[in-house]
Amino acid sequence: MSRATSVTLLGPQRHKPFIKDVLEEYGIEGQLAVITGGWEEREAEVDDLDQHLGRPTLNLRLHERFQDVMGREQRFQQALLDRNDRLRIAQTLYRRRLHQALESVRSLYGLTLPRMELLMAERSDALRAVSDLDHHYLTQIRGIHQAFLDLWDPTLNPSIAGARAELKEELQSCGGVLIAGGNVSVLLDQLYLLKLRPLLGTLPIVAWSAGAMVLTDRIVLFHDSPPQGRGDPEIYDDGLRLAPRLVALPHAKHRLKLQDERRVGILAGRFAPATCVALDEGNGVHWDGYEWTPIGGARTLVADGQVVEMVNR
Amino acid sequence: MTAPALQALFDQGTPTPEQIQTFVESNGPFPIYADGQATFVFVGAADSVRWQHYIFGLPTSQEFNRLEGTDLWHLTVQLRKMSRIEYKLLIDYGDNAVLIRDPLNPLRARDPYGANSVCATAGYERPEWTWPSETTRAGRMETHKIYSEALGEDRYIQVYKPARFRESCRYPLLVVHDGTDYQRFSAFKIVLDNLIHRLEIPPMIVAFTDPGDRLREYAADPRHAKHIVEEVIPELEAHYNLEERALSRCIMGASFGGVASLSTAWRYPKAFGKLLLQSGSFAFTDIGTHHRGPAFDPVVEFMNEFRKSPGRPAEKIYMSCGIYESLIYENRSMVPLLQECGISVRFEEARDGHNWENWRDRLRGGLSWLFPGPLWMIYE
Repeated sequence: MSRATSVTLLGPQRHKPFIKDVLEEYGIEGQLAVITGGWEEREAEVDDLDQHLGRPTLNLRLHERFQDVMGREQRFQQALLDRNDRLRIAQTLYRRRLHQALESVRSLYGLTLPRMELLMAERSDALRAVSDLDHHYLTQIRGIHQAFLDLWDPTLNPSIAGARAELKEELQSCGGVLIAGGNVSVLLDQLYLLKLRPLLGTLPIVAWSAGAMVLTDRIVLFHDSPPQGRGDPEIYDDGLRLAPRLVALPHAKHRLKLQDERRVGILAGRFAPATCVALDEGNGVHWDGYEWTPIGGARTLVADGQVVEMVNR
Repeated sequence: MTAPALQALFDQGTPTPEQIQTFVESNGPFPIYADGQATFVFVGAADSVRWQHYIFGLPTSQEFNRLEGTDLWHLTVQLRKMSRIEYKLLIDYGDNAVLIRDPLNPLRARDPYGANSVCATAGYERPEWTWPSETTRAGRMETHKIYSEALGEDRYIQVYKPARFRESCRYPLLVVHDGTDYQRFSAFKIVLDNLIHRLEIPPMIVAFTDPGDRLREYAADPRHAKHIVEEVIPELEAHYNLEERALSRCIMGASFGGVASLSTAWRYPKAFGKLLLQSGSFAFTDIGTHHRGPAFDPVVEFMNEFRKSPGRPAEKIYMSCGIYESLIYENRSMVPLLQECGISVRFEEARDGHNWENWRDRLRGGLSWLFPGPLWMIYE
């Protein structure tokens, strides 16, 4: 369920940050909490960000806090490793099936026939099979997460509860939250296991790159030209569901072959009705609780293989 | 078949020097590549002109044809797409002959002996990750001097520290033979900067080592292996926070450097979990003697011994070789041998020769397979 408050997702901010402009545009004032846990051991290196904003931020230090809990709770750490092993196996099986399913879709998208209506029906059925597989995988990993949470309810564990109490207090003094990019898996674990979402309340959020991905309904990993492997886009996990009906694709210009109509069409069709948004440098999207508005000419991927400028939706 | 542009010139009758000049200016640079054929052109007074290339399997030297009554020389050869060939021209003036780079071809490849001209056929393009990039965070180099008991002299190690290096982090280690040449002729530092920046490989410490007497030390000399494992590695461990397990350590080299890498890993099987071997000079004899010259004697002796008892020098081995190299047979024959030992092997062939740019172009494939980066998970 989404919140009726402001969520802004941006492309990469390293070279030409414009977070400050976004804060002004949407009237986000007061102390800003920042989550840079995706940067892992570089979590504390927020000088450039503070300089860009012209004021210090309050770093929530999720990575440090999470590491601290892991250090103190050996059984928790072991349970987490066991969970990760199970997730890895599920992911391996999913990838194996996914490649076959996508190959089938790609072969149909590569065909042209005199009776296109027959081909179109096969294409959408093959695409539906991929979507079904994505859903199946999500169901599998939700089960694994739930089994872990049944053993380790974050609200009951004293170490986690202590960290959450501190976070709650810190957030009370803030007028907004910034979530930076980095390692999407690490960031997601911190947010889930410290159960941060309820603590965010209705604070406006500005997030970029991996930070944007974790706020969506489903996190999709992607790269069309990896040096090794097949480059099949894959579901990673559920996101925090604060940015509804949207698949965030940061660095799309570099990571995706946006000129390849077949790849674009398959990606957009597979995740429909969610909208695949290319979040590149200088652009983003804003959610006001009711609709999405593009910022800086954000583009969306369309099922016909085109990449077009986004309109409000 | 003669290239159409050249044929059109011929069809006009004997061209004047001015017409030849116009032809060269309007059709260059050379060679012209079309329909699977490369046409080379030379203009100048000579008794003969020969194309000297380094393609194993073709006659090493092929003679240009002279257009009668002119100083225009030409040669058309069949070459496959996506190929990269280094060559020179041998110009015979009667009383002397000189080997020169093709004056009508601006493409050059440098190596320790100077430079060659390059013929790149359709589809070949220098990979973009081998060029410097303004947006890439650059690593830094520092030099260590150590006295080698094993080799009896001082040695210098150039150490690459990745961008955003942190003392508190542990890093994988890559040891490189012919380190200076790899940096000069294969753009190795630029490649490392780019691949790390693009998350295709993890940040790592890279030790660039150089030989003294290369042909002796790299020809499977046990003193060299001792120097690397018992002197270089401890020096690095004393100064850098390195991951300890063998699978986080790799040794690599090209040509004789490939032999040196294999020999070192074979003599110290727990030292390196990974090998990157480019155009390794893995000459051996099943029967009779080899014909590669005396420098290869210790190599052949080692390789024969290795092939009898390969053991398990590493867990993962990436090998590459150009199909225009004489060593392609030896390299191909290593693959099943290593696989039978339970080693995970990836072998890549390229339409290229025994040269530094071939080795440069294969670095991404090799390094990213041996050390996969966090590309899939990181969105900064």
